[in-house]
Amino acid sequence: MAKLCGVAVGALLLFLWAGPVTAQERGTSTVRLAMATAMCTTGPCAPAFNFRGGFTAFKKPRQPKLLTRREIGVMRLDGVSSSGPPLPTSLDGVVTARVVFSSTDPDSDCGDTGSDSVQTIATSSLKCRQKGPSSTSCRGTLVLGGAVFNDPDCTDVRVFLTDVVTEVYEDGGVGDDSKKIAQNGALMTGKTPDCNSGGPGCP
Amino acid sequence: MKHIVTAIAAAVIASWVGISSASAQEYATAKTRVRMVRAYCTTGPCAPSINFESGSGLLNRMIQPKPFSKRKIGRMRLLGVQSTPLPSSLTGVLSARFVWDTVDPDGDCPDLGDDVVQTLATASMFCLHQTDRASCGGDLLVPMGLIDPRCTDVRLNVLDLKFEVYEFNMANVETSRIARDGVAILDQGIDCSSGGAGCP
Repeated sequence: MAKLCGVAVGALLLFLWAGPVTAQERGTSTVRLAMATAMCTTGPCAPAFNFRGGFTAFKKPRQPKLLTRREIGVMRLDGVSSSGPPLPTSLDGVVTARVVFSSTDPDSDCGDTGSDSVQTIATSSLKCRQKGPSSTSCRGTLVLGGAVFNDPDCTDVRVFLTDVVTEVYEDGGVGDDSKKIAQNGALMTGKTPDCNSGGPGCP
Repeated sequence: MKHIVTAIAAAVIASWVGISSASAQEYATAKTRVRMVRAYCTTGPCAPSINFESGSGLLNRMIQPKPFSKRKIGRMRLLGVQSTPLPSSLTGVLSARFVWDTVDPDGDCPDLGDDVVQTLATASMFCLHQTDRASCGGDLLVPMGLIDPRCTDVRLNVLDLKFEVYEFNMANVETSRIARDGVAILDQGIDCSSGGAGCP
């Protein structure tokens, strides 16, 4: 009898252990996305502007704090220069993402449960400070949009953000490709002579 | 005399920089650090039988010709992986939109002006088992031949970076996609419509 009970308990434990795992267990910590020149089909989208570097950093988001603390990170664009127009005094940043709400809600009152949509989740107004005669550095706080993660019924539902795109536009130019200065990415600078000509550092 | 020459040289360089600075981004971008979240397909998690606690992806600053000769450009990790059985390794993929500049100093790069989406690097992520979980990690390596030696003098913008982790040797098979870069906002079981702790 004892052996039978042992086998039954063992089988139960095995079943529980082998059951499908259902959820990620830790919230993500800080994310840092470097910025690169935004490229359109014919080259840089806003060729009159250039910059030395920049990034978007996201803090670790926690519920239910997002209801009241709407700042979720910062955006920076350093060494912004211009080949024609005056140096900017402010820029606009925008973050879009695919937002996936978990299908599990303990009290079943969240209207977004199981939804999957691409939307603008945060914006930033970057203020610029001139650094020398020909460049300026811009930075701003990243703030969640008014209707984003603002439903008290949904603070007990997990949310996953993927396909995160961060973009910086000229002031007032959000959505206009010709005013898009930067987006998340990486720039690989070239080095002359190339490796076909035996450049330094080549194998 | 020496000071005058230095001042004139500095002024000339400064004015030159001032005039030309807006023509192109000047420095390779610094590190990008992403976190991994569960990959979701249309009907829920893409690989529902595999879960994990956390993960990260790192893309180092890329300065030519290093990505051509030293193939490691970053690293991917996935911690607390749970599945039955535990994996011995996973496959990481970093894909991106490659936008090649239109200027080549010696005019021999065949990729000039191209705009394509392709795999930038892959990682063989080996797993260490700890009781019922595994921690997996590996270096992101640029595949041999991805960058033409004639193009190491051409600027390359890498946009729309996508870090993904698949079951071993199942790269780009959607049902084997375990994780991808993103942000997870986890709940603490507090529903603010019911007046939970920490709610406004």
